Amino acid sequence: MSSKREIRWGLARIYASQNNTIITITDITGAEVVSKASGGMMVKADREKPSPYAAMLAANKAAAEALDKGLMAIHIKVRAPGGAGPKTPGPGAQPAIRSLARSGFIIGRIEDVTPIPHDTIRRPGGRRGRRV
Amino acid sequence: MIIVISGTPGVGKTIVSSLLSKRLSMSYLHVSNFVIDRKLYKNYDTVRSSYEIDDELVAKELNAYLKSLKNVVVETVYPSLVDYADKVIVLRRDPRELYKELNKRAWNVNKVIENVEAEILGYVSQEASEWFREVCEINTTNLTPEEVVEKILAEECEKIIDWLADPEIQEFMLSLDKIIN
Ligand SMILES: Nc1ncnc2c1ncn2[C@@H]1O[C@H](COP(=O)(O)OP(=O)(O)O)[C@@H](O)[C@H]1O
Ligand SMILES: [Mg+2]
Repeated sequence: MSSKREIRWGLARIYASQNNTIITITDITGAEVVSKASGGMMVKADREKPSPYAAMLAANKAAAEALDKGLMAIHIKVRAPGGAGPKTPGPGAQPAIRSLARSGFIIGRIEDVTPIPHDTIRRPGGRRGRRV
Repeated sequence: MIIVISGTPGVGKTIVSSLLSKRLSMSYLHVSNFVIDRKLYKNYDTVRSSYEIDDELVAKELNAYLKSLKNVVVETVYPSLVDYADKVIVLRRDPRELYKELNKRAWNVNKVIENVEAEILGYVSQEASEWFREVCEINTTNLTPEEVVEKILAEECEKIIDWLADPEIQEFMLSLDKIIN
């Protein structure tokens, strides 16, 4: 047995649309969902769903449950379209990342895996439309 | 007059654009074909079977060309390539139906799922509303293409389409993620 406590890694996924944010935390293989929360379940009024506050509450809830179940560290994958104009990518994405970081997890890689729609042509990854 | 018909691949842009352009006696421009005809791409992505474009280069050529046309219906996945439009329509489709639709195409599973996830998160819809002052969204699910054209002409638009708010679609999205995991 090793003398150091083994670090248990997991994977957090953030899905942020213009109106909603969902956070799931799974084991490192991605197979077993350890916890899941959405902005929608944290606040009552529909119009509050996209709020950064709802996303923060959802991330706190998912994090608390995962920490409880013994996860200590997470890699984060973010899917959050938008950001071409004055608006931020899915308004819940940033607050959700911040809450996960503050909740006590060791944070590993943070990856942007936002899906880009494409048929016979595709805009390269990382680009979110034209800026001006 | 320039009418932009945008949306994720598979929502019905081509069929609706061609019906609409005939109905209004306007010409029809398919941006992906325009890009390929004029070789406005950098390289070919074999994994995703698509040409990688440079937004600025495409926009420059496209907008110059659009100025030479009087009345045109423009079909594009990326609405921000168009600098000026009189009407911007974003077609939406239930992601579960879209998944079935795209599986009919000879695309690999990753390409299908990336597109379906983009629809769930409203990628095109967000881009359109960030780029244009007014955007009309239409849910094509369970409508015929003719009915979609009628809605466009009558300006019957949806206020908000948020697939992610539906718990069944949330579960569907998580199941897609497992396939590509
Ligand atoms: N209400 C609808 N509006 C448009 N297309 C529809 C509709 N319902 C089913 N379809 C079908 O969806 C398929 C994909 O449409 P297409 O025009 O090729 O999409 P896109 O150009 O957006 O990729 C077509 O076979 C079309 O007949
Ligand atoms: Mg098409």
